Amino acid sequence: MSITTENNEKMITLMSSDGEEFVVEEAVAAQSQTIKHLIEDGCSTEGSIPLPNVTGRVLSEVIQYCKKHSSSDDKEEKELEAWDAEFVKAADDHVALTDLMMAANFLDIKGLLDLVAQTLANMITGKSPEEVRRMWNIKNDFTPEEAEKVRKENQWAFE
Amino acid sequence: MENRRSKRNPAAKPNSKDRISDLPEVIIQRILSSLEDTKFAARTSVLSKRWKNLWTSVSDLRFNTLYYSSPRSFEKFLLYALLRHHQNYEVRSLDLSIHYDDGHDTEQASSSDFDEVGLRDWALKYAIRHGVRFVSLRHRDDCRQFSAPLSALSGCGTLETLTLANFDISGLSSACFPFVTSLRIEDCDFRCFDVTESNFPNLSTFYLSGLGFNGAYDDSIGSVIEISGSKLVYLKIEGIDCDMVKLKLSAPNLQVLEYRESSGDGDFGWLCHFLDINLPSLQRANVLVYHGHYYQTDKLEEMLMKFFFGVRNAVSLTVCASSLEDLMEAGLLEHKTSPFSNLKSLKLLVEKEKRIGKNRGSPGAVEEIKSYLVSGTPLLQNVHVVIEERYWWEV
Repeated sequence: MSITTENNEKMITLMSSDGEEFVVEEAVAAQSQTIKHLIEDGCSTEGSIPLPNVTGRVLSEVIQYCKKHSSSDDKEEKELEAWDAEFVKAADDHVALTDLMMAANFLDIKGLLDLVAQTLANMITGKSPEEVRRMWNIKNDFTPEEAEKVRKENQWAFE
Repeated sequence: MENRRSKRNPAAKPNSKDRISDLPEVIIQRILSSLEDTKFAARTSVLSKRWKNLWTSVSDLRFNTLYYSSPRSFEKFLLYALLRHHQNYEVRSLDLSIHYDDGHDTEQASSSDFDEVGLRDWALKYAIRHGVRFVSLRHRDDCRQFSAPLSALSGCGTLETLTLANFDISGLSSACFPFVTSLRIEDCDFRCFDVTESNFPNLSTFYLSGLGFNGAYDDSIGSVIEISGSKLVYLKIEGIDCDMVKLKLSAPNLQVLEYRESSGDGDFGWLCHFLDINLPSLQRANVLVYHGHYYQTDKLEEMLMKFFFGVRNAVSLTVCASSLEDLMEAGLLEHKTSPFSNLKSLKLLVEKEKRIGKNRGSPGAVEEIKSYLVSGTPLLQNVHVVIEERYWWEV
C-alpha cells in the first residue's frame, strides 16, 4: 500500500515473517537494495512488501538503523559512529547479532552488514578455538589425528 | 513478545542449534574478512571440518606486523596465506602494514634479512590479479625510504580506493590511476607530487595528512603541490608543515574543504601558502587553524585573507577565533567586509585554554571576530551562529 504523508514523503508497508506490519518512508526502506529493487519493479503498489526471512523483532531493529542512516549527510560522522556502537551493544549477544546479520544480508544493506560483521569479528578475536566453538555451538568433528594435521598445516597462524 | 524474546536467548535454550555454522558461507566469510588480520581467520581452520577451508576464500586480506612476534613469522604466514588463498575468489581489499624498524631485535630474526619490499610486491601482485578494489599500504613509521609501488598499481583497472602511508611517492605525478575515486596520502615525502586529472581523472575524495621530507632540511625546500580535478568533491588537508609546502588548489565541483593545522598524530603546521585557490561550488569549509604565532601581522593578514577569499562561497563555515585574534588586535578587521557572501551558518570555536600565548579570547573579541565574518553576507541576521568552547586538542 502506498500512502503519502503531509510532507509528500511516500510511505510503504513492510511485513515481517510473523505478520507484523511496519509503515516506513520509502527513502528509509530503500537503503535496503533488495527493497529498493522490489519497489522499482512495482511490487509495492498493492499491499505490503512481504519479507519472509525477517522476524518482526529483527525488522524493527533494521528499520531503526535505516532511519538513523537515511539522509545522514549532514550528521556528524562521530555522532553516527557513537550511535552505531550503542546500536550493536543493544543487540545484546552474538545470537541476536547473527540474526541481524542474516537480515542485513538478505535485505542487502551494506553499512549494517559491515557494522555487524565487524562486531562479530571483534567478538571472536583473541578467543581460543574451544571458546569460539562454545560461543557458536560448533561441534568439533575432527579425529585427534586430523586435528593435529590441520593445526600443523596452519602453524604460522598460531605463532 | 516475551515468548519471542526467550527463543533468542541461548541460555534459555541450551540445545540451540549451531547457529553460525548454519549460516551461509558468504556470511561467515564476511565475518572472517572483518578480522584484524588474516592470521585470525586462518585460526578458525581448526574449529571443525566445515570451517577447515572457509578462511581461504576471505575477500579482504589483512596483514599487520603488529600481530606477529617476529618478521620471520610475519613472512611465513603471509606466504602461506597467499599460497592457500582460493584462486577462484576475488580479493576485494589488501591491507598491509609493516612496522618493523631497524632496531627491532627478536631472537636471531633481524629485519635486515627481512625482504619487506619483496613480500609487499608479491601480495600486491596477487591482489591485483584477483581484482582488488581497495589497497592500503603502510610502511614503518617516520621513515620514507621506501618508494611506493606505483608502477605496479598504475593503470590497475579495478582499484577504487588507495591509501599510502610513510612512503616516498615521487613517481605519483607520472603514474595514472584511472578508476581511483578515493585517495589517502599520510606522512609521505612531499616533494614533487601533484594530484590532478592527469594522474587521478576520477578522484572524488582526497585526504592529505602530515607530509614530511627525507634528508636534511634547507631553505630551498619549498614544494608546490597542485591539487585539481573536476570530480573532486571532498578534500581534507591536515598536519602539513606550512613553511615547506605551497598549494595550488582548483576544484570546480568541490563541496567540502576541511583544513586542520594538526593531524591526529601530532604534526603541526599552520595555514599553508595558497598560491591559487579556486573553489566556486564550495558548500562547507572547516578551517581549524589557531593563532598564527609564527608570522608578522602583515604576513598573517595576507595569507589568511587570500585563503578566505578562496573559500568565500562557503555556505557553512567553521573557524577558530584565535586564528583571527592578531588581526583583530591590530585593528585590521575594523570596518572591513569579509569575503563570505553566502553564509547560512557559522561555527566559531573558542579555545578554553591556549596552547600558545596568553589567554585572550575575551567575549568582546569573539563578538568582534564574529561580526567581521558575517559582515559580507547581505542577510546577516539570517546567519545561524554557534559559538563553541573547546580545548585546542579537541578541535
